[in-house]
Amino acid sequence: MCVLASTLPSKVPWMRILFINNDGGGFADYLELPDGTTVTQLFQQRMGQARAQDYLIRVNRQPTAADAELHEGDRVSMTPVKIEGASGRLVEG
Amino acid sequence: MERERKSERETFSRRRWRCAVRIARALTIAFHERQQVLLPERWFQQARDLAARHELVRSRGWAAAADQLRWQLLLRVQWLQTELKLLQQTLQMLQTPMPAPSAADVYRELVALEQEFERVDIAPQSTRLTVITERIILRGIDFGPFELVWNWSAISGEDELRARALEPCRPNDREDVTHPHVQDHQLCEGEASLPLEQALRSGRLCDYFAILQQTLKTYNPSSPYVHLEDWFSRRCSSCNDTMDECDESDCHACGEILCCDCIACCAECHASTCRSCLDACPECHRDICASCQPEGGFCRGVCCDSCQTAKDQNETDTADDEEKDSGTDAAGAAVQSVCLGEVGVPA
Repeated sequence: MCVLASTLPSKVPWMRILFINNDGGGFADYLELPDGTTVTQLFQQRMGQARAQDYLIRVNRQPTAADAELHEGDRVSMTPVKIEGASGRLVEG
Repeated sequence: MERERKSERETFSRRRWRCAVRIARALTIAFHERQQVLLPERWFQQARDLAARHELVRSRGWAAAADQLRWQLLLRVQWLQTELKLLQQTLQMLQTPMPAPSAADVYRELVALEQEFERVDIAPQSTRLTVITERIILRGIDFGPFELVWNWSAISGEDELRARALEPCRPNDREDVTHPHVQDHQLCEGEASLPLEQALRSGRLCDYFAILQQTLKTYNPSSPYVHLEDWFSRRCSSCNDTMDECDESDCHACGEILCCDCIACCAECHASTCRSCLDACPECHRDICASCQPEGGFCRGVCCDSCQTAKDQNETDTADDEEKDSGTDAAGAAVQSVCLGEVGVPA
């Protein structure tokens, strides 16, 4: 479980969300976030220098606004717009 | 009317629910009950066979064949490496197993799928879920929409997913390729492999199809079946290299299309001709096309028209000279063979 912003006071209410990052492994992880965390704040914390426009961001399977606040139990997925396929398989003769 | 609409939604929802139950069960069996670890033995066996063949041709000194086999072996080893890496990640993931998706989870995914994509069809009898993507446009080339058909009774099998172009835009010489990363309706997933497996394992069908669509919308120039730059290029019939339209020439004799390096021309009529349609005159050794060759070609020492004309002229000149020099009368005219099969006689 990952905790966001350890510098915040311990009395700040926290919420638990499911975060799915389809960039790379596509693994899901439960996160503890301060109440009122927005989608943009979550993106900046988890995705570093990446640009939000390079990702399809869904909250509870729906498109969402960047400044939308997250709530307890929300499911957030981030799927990169660019995912490279290949041609690795040789045709068997 | 309202009752009909309500009835229609309920019927559809029950149908969707039934499918969700079946899909959830299929995913549970594929990922959570049957956790067999499969090593990529087939790829390893193929690499081993290639290595043996390479050693055989190398020992016989067949350098070109050895180069070709070495290249094939390299590709095979790269693919084996990718498979082993995927297996490693799968094994690491199995260390912390995730709960199997419930029918309710899958039901919500099916609802979301219908909101995310314009057309979604569920066929419970054939165990197939079909999604139509947006139009796929890469660097100005419109490949049209793709039909993604996921067969939930064939998870991890070769028939699990088919990507069929609905308005195919194929390269000039590849009927089997409809997208830089799709051959024979099979998408080569590349870096999407692991997130796709993760999405299915969790029952996240909406993510699964979203990842597939994004993979189709992304061009990987380092590993396509056909490069986009070559999509509308043609290949030279002689050397098989791709060529730009401005470099194309067609042989006036057989109609084949060749590049500027392989096209030649007839020394008589100067028409563009491939080397297969040219033959060398035995006298002057110039390349002459079939149209300009004598009837029957250059067999039995027959030469081209130019050489024949020159020969005839030469004979005539020689005959005149000899007649002038010798001064022989008609009765004692020497029989001179001016050329094979011909004898000059005085007028």
